[in-house]
Amino acid sequence: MEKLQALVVDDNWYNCNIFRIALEKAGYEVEIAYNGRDGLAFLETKPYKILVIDLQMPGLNGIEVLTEIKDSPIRKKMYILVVTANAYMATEDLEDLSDMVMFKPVNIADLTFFLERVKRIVL
Amino acid sequence: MKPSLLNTIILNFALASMYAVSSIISQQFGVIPPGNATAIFAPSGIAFVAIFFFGYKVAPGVFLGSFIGNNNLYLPNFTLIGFGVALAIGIGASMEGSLGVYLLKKFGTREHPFEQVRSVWVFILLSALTSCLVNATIGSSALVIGGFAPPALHGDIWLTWWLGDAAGVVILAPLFIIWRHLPKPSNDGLLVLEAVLSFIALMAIGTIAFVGGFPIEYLFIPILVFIVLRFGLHGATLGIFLVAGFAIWGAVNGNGAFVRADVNDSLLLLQAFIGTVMFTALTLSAADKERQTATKALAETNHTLEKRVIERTQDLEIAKNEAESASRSKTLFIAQMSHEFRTPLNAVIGYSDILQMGMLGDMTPDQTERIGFIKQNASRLLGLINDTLDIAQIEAGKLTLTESRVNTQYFFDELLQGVKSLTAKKQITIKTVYHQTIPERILIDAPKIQQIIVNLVGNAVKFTPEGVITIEIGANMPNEWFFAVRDTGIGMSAESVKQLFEQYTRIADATTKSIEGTGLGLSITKRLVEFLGGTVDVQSVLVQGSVFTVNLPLKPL
Repeated sequence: MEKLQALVVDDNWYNCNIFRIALEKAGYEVEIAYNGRDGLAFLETKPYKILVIDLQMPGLNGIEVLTEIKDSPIRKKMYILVVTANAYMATEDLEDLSDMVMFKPVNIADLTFFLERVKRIVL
Repeated sequence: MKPSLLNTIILNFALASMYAVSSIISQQFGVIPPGNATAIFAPSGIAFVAIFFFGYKVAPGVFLGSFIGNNNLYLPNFTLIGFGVALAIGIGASMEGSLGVYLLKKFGTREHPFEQVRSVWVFILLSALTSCLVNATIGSSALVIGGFAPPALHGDIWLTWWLGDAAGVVILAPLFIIWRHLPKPSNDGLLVLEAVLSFIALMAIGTIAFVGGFPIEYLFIPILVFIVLRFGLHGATLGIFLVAGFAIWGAVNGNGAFVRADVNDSLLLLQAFIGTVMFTALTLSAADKERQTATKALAETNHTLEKRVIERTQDLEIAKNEAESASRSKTLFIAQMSHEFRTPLNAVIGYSDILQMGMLGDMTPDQTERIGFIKQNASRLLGLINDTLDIAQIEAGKLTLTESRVNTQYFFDELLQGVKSLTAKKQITIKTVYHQTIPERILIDAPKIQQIIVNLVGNAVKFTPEGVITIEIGANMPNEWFFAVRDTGIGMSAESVKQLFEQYTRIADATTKSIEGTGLGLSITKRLVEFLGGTVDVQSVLVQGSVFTVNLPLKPL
């Protein structure tokens, strides 16, 4: 059976690595973009089932990437998990743009739970 | 010869000729028949004006003018007595003018004597009426002593002389002193029309009263009042001059209300009329001028004040913007710091989780335990960061009130269910007591109440090795509710209680050394309670335990 595709967009290598481990463990095939612009380019290439995206990134930030794809067909078939280190972020602004918001430091058990649930819905 | 001395000499001669000529004219035209009484002696006014403008150095010109003007006393039949009498009258004339100016400048206003009521009255009473006693006395006496007038008429001559001189001063001095500066030309067509019409009205009334002989002199008064208030001192002095001119003309020609069989009676009536008109107009114009000056000063003060208020407002605006910008940058800094702290912590806690969950292969129990230690310490670090940022957030004034109605018991039950996890690994029981007094539903800022209770219960757990933590919820007053967290922990001394809520202080002694924290928890709690309009009290006994009571306003639903 073909694996589900996941994309991680985060400018911090360690965080990307952690998400890669958790996603692979949950059975996803993972690709990583280290900035928003690369992230947008990756999204054009294949139908990702899940997007894990950081907000504060140099250049194109997470909100800008999400706004860009908001009305595109890619968005409809993809689950978006926003992961932010900004604890004072008002989450209402993200409601339209994403499916789930987690604050760093992310609890891996919570993350795994979310990934498993998405997989169950999709498969 | 110095130019100034030459100027003075020229001035004196010019004044002397003017004085002499006007003296002759006054005696020709100002005389009320059948006698020789002069209704208005213009030279006394000219003398006063000259001395007012040029100073006492022109007094010799007055003397000379008077002496020449009275040449009929010693010419063509020269007598030493006539010469002496003319000299005496000349000296009297120059003394009179000098005294008048001296009194006005001493007791009135130096530069603008007709712009203040007080100064106007000084001018009338002292410069005109008092000063003119001088030559009236000297001159009439010299005439009688010199044999030029019978002693029986001494009193009449004295009175005529006095009032004639005074009339000359009061009519001419204001006119010349005011009109030395011409009025500002007006572009206001209406004003010019008003000026023309009011002077036409004066002429008409004058003609009817003093040519036609129909006694409506009193109609001058309303016209003059109008002129004074519309055209100020220029209008007033010119108006008085016109009115006086008509009155004198009428008296001289035997027309008008002031004509009586007895010359002295006519003269007194005429002078009383001129005096009244003059006094009224000058006083009114001075009062109006004072009012205008005061209004102008007030407007200027207001303007200055307004300007200052605007400046101060601008200063405040700048200060406010600076403060707001500082507050904004502080908030931005807090958010940034939060981000910077959490990013590496995410890696530390994330890798700990991954290892602990065996995602990268099985771990020995020893390894799992050590990774647990890494995670515990990272979590504690996270707690410290949260506290520090919370305090910074509160200090930046960024708290907002988010109130909602909750079912009291449901809210606290759920909240305390979560709090129970804090007691893990300790022999502690958490009990909840609801007093009957607490309403079934209350309006609260749920997230802040939650943070306060988690802080207080966390604190109680921290300082209670084993025992019971009781949470009481109730309302003692109609407009206040409370919750109290009671523990059976190590307690505190009265000394410690005092500094408990102070920022960054922790009770440091042998019993608490092993317990960790930033010392910010209670400070945050207190700030939150105060933000909600409540108070927090603590009672504590060493070794027995502590009670933290939070009183909050009970808001209508």
